[in-house]
Amino acid sequence: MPAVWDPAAALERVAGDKALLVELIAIFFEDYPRYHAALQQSLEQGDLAALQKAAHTLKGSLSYLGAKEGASLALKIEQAALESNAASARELIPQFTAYIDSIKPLMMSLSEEPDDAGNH
Amino acid sequence: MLATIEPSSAPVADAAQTTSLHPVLVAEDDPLYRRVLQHLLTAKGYDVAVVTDGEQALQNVAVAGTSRLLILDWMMPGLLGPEVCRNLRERSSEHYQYILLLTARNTTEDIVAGLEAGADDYLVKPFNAHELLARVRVGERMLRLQDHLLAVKETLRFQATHDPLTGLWNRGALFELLHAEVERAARKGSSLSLFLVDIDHFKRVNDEYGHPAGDAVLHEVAARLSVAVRPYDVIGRYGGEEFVIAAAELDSEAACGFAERLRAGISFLPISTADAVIEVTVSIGVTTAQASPIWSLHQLIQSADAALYRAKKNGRNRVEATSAQ
Repeated sequence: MPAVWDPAAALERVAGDKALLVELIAIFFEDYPRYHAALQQSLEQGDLAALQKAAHTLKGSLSYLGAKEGASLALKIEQAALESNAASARELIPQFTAYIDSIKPLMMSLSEEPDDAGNH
Repeated sequence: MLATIEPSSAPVADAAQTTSLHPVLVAEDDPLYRRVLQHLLTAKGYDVAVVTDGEQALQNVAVAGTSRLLILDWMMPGLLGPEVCRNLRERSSEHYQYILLLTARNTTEDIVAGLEAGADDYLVKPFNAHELLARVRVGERMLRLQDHLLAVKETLRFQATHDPLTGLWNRGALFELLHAEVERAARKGSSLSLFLVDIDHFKRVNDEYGHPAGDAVLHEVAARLSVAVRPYDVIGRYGGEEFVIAAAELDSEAACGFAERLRAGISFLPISTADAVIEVTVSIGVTTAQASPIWSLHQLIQSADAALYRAKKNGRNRVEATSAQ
């Protein structure tokens, strides 16, 4: 899956405040290991409620940041957890992780881009 | 009801509340959204308090009670947003809380459930900054409107129960309070003293110095009587130049001493008005009803009136008592 991220939508959401968006991305990746661990752990422990909760939060954050594919993968994990479909969740989590890993450098480099980047 | 109103100065529409923004309480467990909300609202001048779950939100409202503009996330650990809404709406408060619910769910069913739980508005995540701020401004507008209505209500309540010249209870409110005092004395088996205070030769003040001077005298006499009574005594303007005070749990002797202090408090210093310095005295009729037999308010007033009549007849600037035992 190609790493696709559209910063324009995210910038529009924060009313063009790039510094804020950079900060939000930093907050997300600072918290991400915790949520990622929660995904793995809750799946291993069969705690689907916790899995659903973690996926829900990830979906919310990613959709805010304009990472649509990440958000939709997180939504699929959330739904799988809701449907008690552990097998589906087990398949989705690596995909999700791979997506985040691929998109992280792109998102983290926003601060280095000129100010009008993606805001046209 | 009436007794809870402070007989002080009339409340004025609170200017401070209409010019500054209401503080906002954000309850959100996702750190990213917390930061977004805090940043956007703070940048617009809102004072923002942030909590991470529903219990803390309820506690913040119950304990601090300062935030009336609430932004609640639907999905939080512990209490969900709609549960917090329901809980807040069950509490009766004169000060309305405006609640904006944040939700990732945008089905009709969910939106209806959120609004039915008591939310005033909802915003679907991921929301746009402009839309968030516009919706918060709607809440701010509603709260200002409510503040204004409460201020008007308070002003009207004050005006309806107070004498505009002296700031004391007016005749209507006074009688309601006097009835309550009589009932309380009967219930508790305690004594009740009633004082009728009448300014001597008040008509002469108006005739000689004009009505503004007469008003100033009424105002000053009321002020001096007010500081002399105990906080829990009832004092009001009976009409014209006559005032009524009701004081519980004084025996006849103490009531006479109290009346004497009231009288001396007026005569000891002439009243300075814009037009003249005027020597003013009062005559006081006092009646003390013991616990038994129970007296009606009507009987108490009649008895105090008879005492006042005697004080006038016996030379004014004096206290006369009738026993009501």
